[in-house]
Amino acid sequence: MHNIYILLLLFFGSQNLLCQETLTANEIVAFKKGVQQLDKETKTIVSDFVQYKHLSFLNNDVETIGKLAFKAPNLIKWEYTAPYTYSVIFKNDNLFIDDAGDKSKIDISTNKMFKSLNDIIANSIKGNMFEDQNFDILYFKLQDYYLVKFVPKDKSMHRFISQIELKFTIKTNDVSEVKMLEPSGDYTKIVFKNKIRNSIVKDEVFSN
Amino acid sequence: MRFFLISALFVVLISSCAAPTVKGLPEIETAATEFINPYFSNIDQDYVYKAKINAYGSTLGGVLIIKKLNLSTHRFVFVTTFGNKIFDLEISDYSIKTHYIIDELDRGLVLKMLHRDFEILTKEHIKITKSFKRANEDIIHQSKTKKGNNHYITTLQSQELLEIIHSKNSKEKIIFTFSKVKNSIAEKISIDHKTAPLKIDLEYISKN
Repeated sequence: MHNIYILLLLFFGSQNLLCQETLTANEIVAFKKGVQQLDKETKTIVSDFVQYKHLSFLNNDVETIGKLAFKAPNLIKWEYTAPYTYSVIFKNDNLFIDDAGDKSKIDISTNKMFKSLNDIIANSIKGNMFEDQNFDILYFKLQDYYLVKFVPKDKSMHRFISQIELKFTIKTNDVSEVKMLEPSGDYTKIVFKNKIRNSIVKDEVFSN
Repeated sequence: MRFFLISALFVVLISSCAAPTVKGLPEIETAATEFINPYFSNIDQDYVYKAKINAYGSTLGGVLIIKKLNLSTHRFVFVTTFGNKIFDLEISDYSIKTHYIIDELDRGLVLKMLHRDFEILTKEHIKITKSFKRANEDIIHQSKTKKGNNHYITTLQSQELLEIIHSKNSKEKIIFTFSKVKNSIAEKISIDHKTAPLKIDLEYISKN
């Protein structure tokens, strides 16, 4: 009886492995071209998102929801709306924060970890991170999406981030999910919803 | 006359050694030898708080997650709103285990302070050495520890814990204030350091 369970486990385990196909060189070229073309055509993005913080010892992930706004070339507003209000505007090497009315500015140029993580978040909105020399990149195809894994080359980064995973919807080449994994197995996952490209986004959105 | 002088000196000495929180207050007899801090005592509960830290003129917002692991140990994880870990600590009465801490905070003094603050915040079973009564009928339980005195200020009727005041060398050092208590959860907590420009405000956000 025990052996049956092991066989079943092996069978379904191997099915899962088979589902996650590695992309061929030609598929990678075509996929990257699609994402880069979408990025080139993108002037603005507005989207809702749900962020999940997973810690192994918690009963439930910590869930926060919010909205993001992007305007080319580099204006980003990341806004949490529930269960608390908190917004961050990315401008050059500064973060402009509004913490429920308390406003502050953080210069992240001197903090390698914050700069790396904020660059990742900013770039992952568009998905076009393929030319980033800081990562080894692995490409996979699952049922209806591409999964791209970014492994930091810099060993000092491995202390706080072991891997970043981006999911792209195959039909649209658009990022639908970002997952940042820590060496402990804990992770932060951001799922984008109701994403709209190239609507009118005024500059005033990016000031607080 | 000589007896009077010695007695007066004795009274002065005794009162000058008394903790400022209970100085001049009448001591009362209570049958209880133990007080229970209920706020982080449920092992099945994820305690998740929006945190605002004001330290030395800078403000840092994030989320503080506290989980009771066993009778004497709690886990404390502080993450930025983006989910990046600032620290991940496991604290019991006599030990601190660092799962992760950013380099900037990885200092003996910082860890010592976090250990002391979080131990006082979550310590569940408190041995009462004396009890006092305020003019407004609040009861103050005094607990002597190796690190100083902790005073637990509670209401007379419901024994609801309102404040913990940590004092050392006859000086109040830290005041923990609890309010908006629902189902043994303090939804608002402030940790105010009296001898350093450091204040932490916590607001409960867990949905559990």
